[in-house]
Amino acid sequence: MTPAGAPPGLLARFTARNTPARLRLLLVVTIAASLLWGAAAAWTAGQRTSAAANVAAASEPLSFDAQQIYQSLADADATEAIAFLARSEPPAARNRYLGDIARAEYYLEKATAAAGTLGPGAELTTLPVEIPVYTGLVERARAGNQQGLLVGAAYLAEASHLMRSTLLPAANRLYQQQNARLATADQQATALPILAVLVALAAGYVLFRAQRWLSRRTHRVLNHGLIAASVVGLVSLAWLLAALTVARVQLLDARDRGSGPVRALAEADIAALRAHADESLTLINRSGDDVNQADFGRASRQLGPGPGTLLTEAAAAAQGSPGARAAAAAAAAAPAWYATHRRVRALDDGGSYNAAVQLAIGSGPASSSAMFRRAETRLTSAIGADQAAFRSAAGRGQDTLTGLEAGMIVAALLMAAGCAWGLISRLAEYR
Amino acid sequence: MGDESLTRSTKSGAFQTTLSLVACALAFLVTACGTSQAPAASPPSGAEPSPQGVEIQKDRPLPPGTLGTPQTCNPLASLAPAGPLPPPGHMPAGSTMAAIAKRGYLRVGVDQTIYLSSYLDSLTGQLKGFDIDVARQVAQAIFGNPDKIQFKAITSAQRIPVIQHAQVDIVADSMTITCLREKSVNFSTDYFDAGQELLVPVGSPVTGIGDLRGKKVCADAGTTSMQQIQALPSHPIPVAVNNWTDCLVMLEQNQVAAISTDNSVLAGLAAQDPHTRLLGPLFTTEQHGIAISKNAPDLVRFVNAVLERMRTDGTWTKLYKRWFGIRMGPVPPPPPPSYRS
Repeated sequence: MTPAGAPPGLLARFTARNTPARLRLLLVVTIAASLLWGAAAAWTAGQRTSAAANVAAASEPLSFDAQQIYQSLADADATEAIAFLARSEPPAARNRYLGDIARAEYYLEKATAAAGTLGPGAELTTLPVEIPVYTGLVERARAGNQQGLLVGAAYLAEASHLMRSTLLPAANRLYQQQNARLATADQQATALPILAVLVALAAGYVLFRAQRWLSRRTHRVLNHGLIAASVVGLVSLAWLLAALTVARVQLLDARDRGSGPVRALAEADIAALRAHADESLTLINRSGDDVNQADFGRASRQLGPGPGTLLTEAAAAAQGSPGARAAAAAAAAAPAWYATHRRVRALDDGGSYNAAVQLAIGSGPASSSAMFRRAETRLTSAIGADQAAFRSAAGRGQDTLTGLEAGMIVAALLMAAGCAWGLISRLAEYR
Repeated sequence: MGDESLTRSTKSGAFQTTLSLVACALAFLVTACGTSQAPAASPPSGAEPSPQGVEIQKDRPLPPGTLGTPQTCNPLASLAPAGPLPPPGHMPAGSTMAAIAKRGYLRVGVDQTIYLSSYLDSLTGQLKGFDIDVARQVAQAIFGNPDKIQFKAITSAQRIPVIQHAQVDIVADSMTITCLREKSVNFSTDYFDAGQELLVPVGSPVTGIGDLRGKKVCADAGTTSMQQIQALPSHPIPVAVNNWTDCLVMLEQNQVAAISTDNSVLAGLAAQDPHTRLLGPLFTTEQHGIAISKNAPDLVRFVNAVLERMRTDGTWTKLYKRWFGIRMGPVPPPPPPSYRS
């Protein structure tokens, strides 16, 4: 049936105080509520899916790359000092140094490529410019050392100073930036879905009021279309909440048993490498100043173990993670290293230079280098284990969200269809 | 009721849209700022860095009583030997030498970075050089064994404190005898005459100290050489470092135009880089003495007796020839001693 007077027109068909108009209005409102829910749910699902993908596939790899750059450079500093101190350069140390530099440059290339359209930051211009300056100084130091010239040690000191005053701070800033990015992505991926819940409540309320009005007006208890729409809505809400909750738990797990410990362990690793380099540099630099020895003291105090120190905090952060045992072992191994270092210093200060060098970098298991490696390999293995834990947990979190966005859209369309079916069949009774 | 909630939702939707637009705009701005931070305007220089602890000491005032002021004492006059040397192993009871003999080794503060004078040979791990051999002569006189010795690596600035704090028995470290230093430590007689001159790259336009105006000249911090550079009438820019080899690094990297210190030190640097040359004339005379505690005049007399023997039995000339040869010109005679009356 059509209204007799055309001019009142379309608007009147919805606003008139008769039942068909009310039904038409209800039709529009319930479909709109369904679609609004669909939009909110799909947006939330999409946003979380991309945030989780960002954590697992973009931010964490960038943080990993930056950590590799930082760690390689610190290792190069320590390894070159050892190689220099040895009377004839050990091929293994030389290869390790070359590998460190190559690794740093490889990951730097990756980090620069990933920076993409944002343009390289100051760190990404500092590092590629200064690394060749550093390696140039190192080669000059080696050339001098091979000829037995004292100036070789001065070049090495200049190289190490460049490493510590420019390269490592830049690598550290890059690493901190990537970690901050990872933390932001983590936050986005694990935020509570407040908007979706509010919209769900509003849509549910609309459907509830629609059914109550219908049952009073038409004296039929149930409207199958609206009931179907409500059930689909509830199921989609449950799916959304369940998937987001599971993903959240897994991402938090990835953070607490993965990226969190990795960060603390990497800090400890860098400090350990620095102290290790200091020991050799003190033996190389014969000027009598104790710059490097004082630095060893600082680095080892930061390292610990002890309350508030890097090793203890890393072990605490790694509690319950796959790297926990290795992290604890690293902290436990440090004091023996310091004790050997003190013996190295006593020998050198007592004028027994050759014995001091032998104890510092000798190939035996009791040398200071061996003691250091005992702690450091545990740190790196803990880092590796927790990185793997991060990847699998973050990957699982990402998998949980698969198909969620599409599912929300389909559910909303089904809801809208249910509302349309339920109300159009009522409306048909008035024709 | 239904339309009300619908309107509200639409409003909140619009609000969301506005918010996200604002957020996008903000993000864009932030991104734009980030891009503008990138130093794309000019490429970096890639210049070599300075060694650690380098300092330009242009406006630093000279310590009082160092240069320009007339000597208030005769610093070269030392304590005369108390008769002939006792045989090794038989030091006078109660003497400083007896205490050293009891300890079992002589403690000597040395530089370990001055090639030819006093350096650690990286191939053997042994200390070598003229000053080291002089110190070994003292150990030989006390113990009959030149290896009964414990060397301690010290910086130029630590030379007086390690004596005052009794961390070493003697300092043999190309140390110039001055009245100011004599207030804090005793000196032996002059055992080496050096003089300050320049080390420049081969082909440098510098022909003498008059050409150094506005040019950077390097020396070890806390040495009389640094004070002489600061006092030069041509006003070079004094660059202080922690190590003489740091000066050579900076010269090779064109960060300084010249190095200026004792010719014995410069000869050791020149021996490491054939593309440098010593440039005279000497503009100071530096008499090197062995520094000993004010509390050990008997050790001063003993060391002077050792030096006296070295002068007369040809040991001095043998050591000079071994380490310096003709790098600084013809081999000179040993510097004559001068004693307080």
